Amino acid sequence: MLLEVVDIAKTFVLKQGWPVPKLVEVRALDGVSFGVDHAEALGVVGESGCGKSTAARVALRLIEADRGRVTFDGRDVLGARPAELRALRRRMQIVFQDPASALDPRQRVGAALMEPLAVHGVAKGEEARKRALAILDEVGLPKTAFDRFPHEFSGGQRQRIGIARALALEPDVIFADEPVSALDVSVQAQILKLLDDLKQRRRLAFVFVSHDLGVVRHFCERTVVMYLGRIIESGPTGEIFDAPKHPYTRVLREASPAPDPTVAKAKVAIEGEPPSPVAPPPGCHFHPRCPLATDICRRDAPALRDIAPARRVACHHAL
Amino acid sequence: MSAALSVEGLTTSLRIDGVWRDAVRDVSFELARGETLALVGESGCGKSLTAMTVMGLLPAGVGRLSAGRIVIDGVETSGLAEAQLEKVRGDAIGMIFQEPMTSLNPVLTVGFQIAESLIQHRGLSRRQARERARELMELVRIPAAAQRLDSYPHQFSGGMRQRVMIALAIACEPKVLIADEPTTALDVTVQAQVLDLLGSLQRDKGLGVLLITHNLGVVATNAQRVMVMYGGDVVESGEVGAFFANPRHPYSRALLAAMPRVDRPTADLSPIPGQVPTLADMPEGCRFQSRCPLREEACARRPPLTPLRDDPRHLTRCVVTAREAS
Amino acid sequence: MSATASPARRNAFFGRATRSPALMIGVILVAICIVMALFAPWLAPYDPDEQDVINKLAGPSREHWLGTDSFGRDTLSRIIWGARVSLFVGFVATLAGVVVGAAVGVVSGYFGGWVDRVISGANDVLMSFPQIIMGIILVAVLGPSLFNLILAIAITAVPAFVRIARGSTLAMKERDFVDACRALGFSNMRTMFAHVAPNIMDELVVMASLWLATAIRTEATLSFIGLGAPPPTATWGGIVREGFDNLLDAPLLSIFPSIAILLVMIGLNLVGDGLRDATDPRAPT
Repeated sequence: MLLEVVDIAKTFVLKQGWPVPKLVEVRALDGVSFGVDHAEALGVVGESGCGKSTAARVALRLIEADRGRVTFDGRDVLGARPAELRALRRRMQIVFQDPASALDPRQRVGAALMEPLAVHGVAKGEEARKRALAILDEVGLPKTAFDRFPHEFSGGQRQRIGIARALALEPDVIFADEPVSALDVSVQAQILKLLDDLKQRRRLAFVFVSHDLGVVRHFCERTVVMYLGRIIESGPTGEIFDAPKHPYTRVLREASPAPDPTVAKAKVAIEGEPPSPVAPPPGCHFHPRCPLATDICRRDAPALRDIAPARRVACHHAL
Repeated sequence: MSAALSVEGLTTSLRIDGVWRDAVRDVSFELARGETLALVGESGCGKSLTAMTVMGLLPAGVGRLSAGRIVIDGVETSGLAEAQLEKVRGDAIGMIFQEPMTSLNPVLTVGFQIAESLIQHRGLSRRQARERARELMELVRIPAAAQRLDSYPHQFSGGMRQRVMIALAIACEPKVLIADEPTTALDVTVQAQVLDLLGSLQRDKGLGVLLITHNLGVVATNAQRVMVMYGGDVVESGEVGAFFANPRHPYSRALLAAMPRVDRPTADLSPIPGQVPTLADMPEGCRFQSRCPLREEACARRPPLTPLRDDPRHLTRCVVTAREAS
Repeated sequence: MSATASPARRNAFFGRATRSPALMIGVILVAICIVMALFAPWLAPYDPDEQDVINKLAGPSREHWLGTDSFGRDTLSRIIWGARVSLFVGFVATLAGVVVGAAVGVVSGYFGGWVDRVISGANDVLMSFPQIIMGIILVAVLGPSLFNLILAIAITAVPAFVRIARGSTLAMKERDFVDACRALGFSNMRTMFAHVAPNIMDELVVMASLWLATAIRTEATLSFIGLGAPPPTATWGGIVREGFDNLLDAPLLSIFPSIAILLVMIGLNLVGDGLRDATDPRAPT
């Protein structure tokens, strides 16, 4: 595996309350493991607050983990010293959901692409300029974009700029945090197509965080489903969505409507909303909303176990 | 029985850099009671603007209704003065938005906000209004409604807040509910719950729902009829079954082909080339022609919204596909 | 959040700016003052230090438009030359305050944690002193000289800029581009000063124009109580003070420089408010 994330955990401590603030613990990640290889995309799906974005940021060390291990190409990421980490960061990049927020509004596109090259001593001057123009071309932007500011572009083009910047250092893995969620369907398709091309041509590995199962099904070979800081199911994307083993995955799948009116609308099989990660329920986090829950679910958290070739599920009553 | 909402030849203009341009052109539709009509399209296609025009909420000096008739529950509202419009809004027609937090007053309890509308439009006493507010919150399935009357908007989750907005919008039993991207900001499981609620209100109360969304999956599972908009034009309209079985307008087809599907593998996505032109650069004639694979000479003139011969309830604004259907 | 240096937004900025009459009045007042300061040797009818004891404490006349002081020096010339000192002190002190305050504030907001707690705590203590009192203490300790005056005023300005830079940095840190910089392996210094700082400039410039007025007032106040630039240097506060000694004989002597101070203060405040409105993207264009 190119990138391996093993058992990472992160608890945020917040101050809440007035006039006497209390310390509140938010368990964002609770023992999460996944891996991804060259020319492969791993989908990370779940609803807001499930920890999927935190997982990506911890693996990149934008957030420090409480425990766990991240190995990239055989090297320890979480224990890397600043100089090693800088070298590793050349090879691990991130693309954000909101391209307006992800780009420095006062930096021209060309400068944004050349700066990382200069910082890492990859290329300077004319050479850097040539490389930046080549990347613009690769992501489908005109050469004229070089001298313009991010706000002069549409949302889809800005996302291309964000992708171009991530590509500048020629990374091996890209963490994409909801990269197409802010875009219209037709633009979304353009960006997905671009990412598809990059995956194949550059043999890029992707950790693709998204709440949109359709997008994940299209782009990702394998998928992990998260619920309140834990992975509850993993396996090949098509299999997971066509025959979910975890009751939550099934609910998620049924709640995601397909553009097909001939399929009877599924009865809403879930009550309530995701509980807060501040005080997750004991045992299986999903039990308060689960139609199959029994006593053991309220008591013991189920471990992620092999249930079929390449498929794992964390449920006492797997479907 | 008259239609809950009937719109005829509605044209909305926006002032951009001092020039008035038509951002919504000649939109006509009827919304029956107990029916959900979906209005779909990408950002800037004019779907929200159509809703704002129907509500009479265009900002003065920036937007105006330049032509057309709007009839809500038998009352023509186009041309009414603001004071009279205020009586209609929230009474015969209600609206919910994508982000309920910005539509609710953060310093007033939700119970008060629902009751206020009832006092204003229905002349209920404070006590009656509060009792009715509790019933409404039960109707929209907010657990422990009686206790939560005195909660503030920020104490609710996103899904619960949207339910509060729905309760507020239907408080005076309007005939029409306009839902502008009501579930876009919500997680899918919560989205399913809110859509389920809207569906049962529409059935049980005979509410006509104009559902504005960009999500074709939501359209397929929640609407009876659909209208697709592009560049301010309605380019296709029809029954949901017929539309998804055989979309007629090239833009509708492109939209479906660009959407990755959750229910089956999509080997190849076909993005729509280019971008939506700005209002100033909109081509004469068919507005989709600059991006259309079927473009021909006749597209330079604006095509009419033509009913298909085999299904007169299915209309397309495309000379090429209207021909192929016969 | 902030307007950017990019052309399109800049046009919107100028559009808003030129449509505000208050801002234009402010700009004119400040411009007059700057012209006075720059061209003092040519504009002033007399040498500001030239004494004419026979004509002391004279009222306005054709020779001396604004009269003379107790040494018979021409008041108009002294006010024109005084603009030099007042503006110089104000500009340099504010600039120093902005640079130091912004640097400290950005560091505080960017790193957060204990760094932020220490800096913010110290800053709150400094802010709790009234500026004048702090200025007096500093000049009293350092001794009166032009340099010490500037230093004292700069120090009183720093806390305000620390606070605003810290707040803006905290808001900027929420933007993904800061994470992007870190993911690209940029150093903290580069991220803070090449990416965060330029994006909070607008707010700092607005604040600086308002602080310039405060700095000029502080200079005048310190000069008035004798802690300013040592005589015979003409400063506005100093002229007011000299006139104060002869208030009954020649009241106009204090009033004219006071009017000059007042106009500059009004001008700078109008400019500051106008800039704030013009850089506020929420304002209608």
